[in-house]
Amino acid sequence: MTEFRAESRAAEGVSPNSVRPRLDSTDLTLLRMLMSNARVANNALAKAAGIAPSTALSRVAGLRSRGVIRSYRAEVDLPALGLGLEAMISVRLSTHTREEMDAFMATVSVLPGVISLFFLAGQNDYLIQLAAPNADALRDFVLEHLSSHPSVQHTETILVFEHRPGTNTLGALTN
Amino acid sequence: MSRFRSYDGTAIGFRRLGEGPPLVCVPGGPGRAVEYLGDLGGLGRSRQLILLDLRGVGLSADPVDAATLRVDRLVDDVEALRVHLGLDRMNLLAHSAGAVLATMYAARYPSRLSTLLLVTPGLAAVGVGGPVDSELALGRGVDEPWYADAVAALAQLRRGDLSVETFRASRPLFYRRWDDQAQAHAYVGISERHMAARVGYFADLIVEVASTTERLKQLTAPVLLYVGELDPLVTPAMAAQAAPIFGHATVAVQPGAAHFPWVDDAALFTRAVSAFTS
Repeated sequence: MTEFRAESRAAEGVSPNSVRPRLDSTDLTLLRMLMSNARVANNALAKAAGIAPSTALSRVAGLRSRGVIRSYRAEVDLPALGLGLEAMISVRLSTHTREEMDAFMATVSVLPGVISLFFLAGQNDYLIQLAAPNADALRDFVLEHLSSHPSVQHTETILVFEHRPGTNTLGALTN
Repeated sequence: MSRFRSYDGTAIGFRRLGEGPPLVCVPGGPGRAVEYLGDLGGLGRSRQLILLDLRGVGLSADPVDAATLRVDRLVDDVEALRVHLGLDRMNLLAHSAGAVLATMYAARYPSRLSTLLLVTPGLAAVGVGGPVDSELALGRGVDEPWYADAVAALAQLRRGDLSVETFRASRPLFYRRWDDQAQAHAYVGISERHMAARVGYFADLIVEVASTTERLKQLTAPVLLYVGELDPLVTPAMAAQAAPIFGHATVAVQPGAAHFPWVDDAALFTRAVSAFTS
C-alpha cells in the first residue's frame, strides 16, 4: 500500500499533500543542475543561479525539506557490475481488485533486478524494467515471480537495446 | 574448416570463426551454405562461431539417402555435431528456416541447450504460420525498378516456389536497403548443387505441432526470438505469438531491419545477441 502511494505521487508529479510547491526560476535553475549532477559544488550552483552561496545552500535545503528533491542517488553502470541484460516485461493480471494490485506492486518492486515498475493505463497492467546478469536469470525471474503468480494472466518480455535517461525533463515546464 | 562423420557416415562440415564461448550456428535457406551468416555482424569478436553446413550443402557431403535431407531428420546431424564438439550443452543460434530445425532439436534434446537464439525464425514447427498479405510491410522501394518483380517473386516464394530465380528476384525486399552491401550478401551460399537439400528440407514433412509444443515445455534454456520490423517472412506479431510456446521467450524486434538483421545493423544485432548469451 505504501509502495503504491509513493509511485502514484511520482507519476502525478505533485507533492505528498497535493499542493504544488511554488518554485521560482532560481529554484528551477538549481534543480536542473542538481538533476544532471547531484554532487555539483554549491559555488557552481550559486554562480549559475546568480545568487550568493549562502542563499544557494538554504534554497537547496528548502527544496529538500519541502520534498521537491526526494533523494540523492548514485546512477551506476549496471553492465559494469555484471548486470548486462536489460528487459521490459509487460504483465497483465487476471483479476483487478485493488488489494491484489497493491499486493502485486509491493511484491514486485522489491524483487531482485527490478529497476522500475510502472502501473499502466493500457491493455497490459504493468511494465517491469529489469536488469539481469544473464538470460537464465531473466527467464528465472519471469518463471518464478510472474508466471507462477496466481494473479498473472500474461507476460511478454522484450529485450532492451539501449537505455538512456533524459537530460531535459524539466524542459517540459512552461514557466 | 572441419569435418566429421554423422550417424549414417555422411561427412558434415563446419567452420570455426572468432574467439570466445562457442555459439553453434545453423543456417536457413533452406539449402543455403552457412557462409552467408558471415561472422554475424562481428559477433565473432566475442564468440567462437561454429558455423554448420547442413548435409547436401557447402562443406558437407551429399547423403546417400535423400530422405535424410528433411528438416526433422537433420536434427540428428545437429546432435552429432554437439557430440563431436564435446559440448554437454550448447548455445545454439539458427536463422530463418534453420530455426525450424533448431526448434525441432530443442524439442528432442531440451537438456542439451544453454541458450537458444532464433533469428528471423521460421515458426512452422510450433504452428505459427507466415503473415497474411495485408500484414506485410512492403512500402520500401515502391518506386524502384525491381519493385514489381520482387513483390511478385515474394508471393511465389510464399506459395512454396523454391527456384533460384524466384529467390533472386525477391531479394530486394529482404533487406533494409537494397544497396551494395545487401546486393553483395544476397546470393552468398546459393548454388544449384544445393537444390536437393533445398527441396528436401520440407518435402513430405508432417509437422507435429502439438507434440513439439508439449516437448518444448521441458526446455529450460532461455530463448530469444529476434525479428526484424520489416521482414516480409517473419513479423513481430508472429514472434509475440510464439514467445509463450518457448517458455516465456524474450522478444527483440530490430527497428528498420528485414530478414538479415546482422547485415542491416550489425552493431545493434551484436549488442543484443551478446547481452543475451553472456
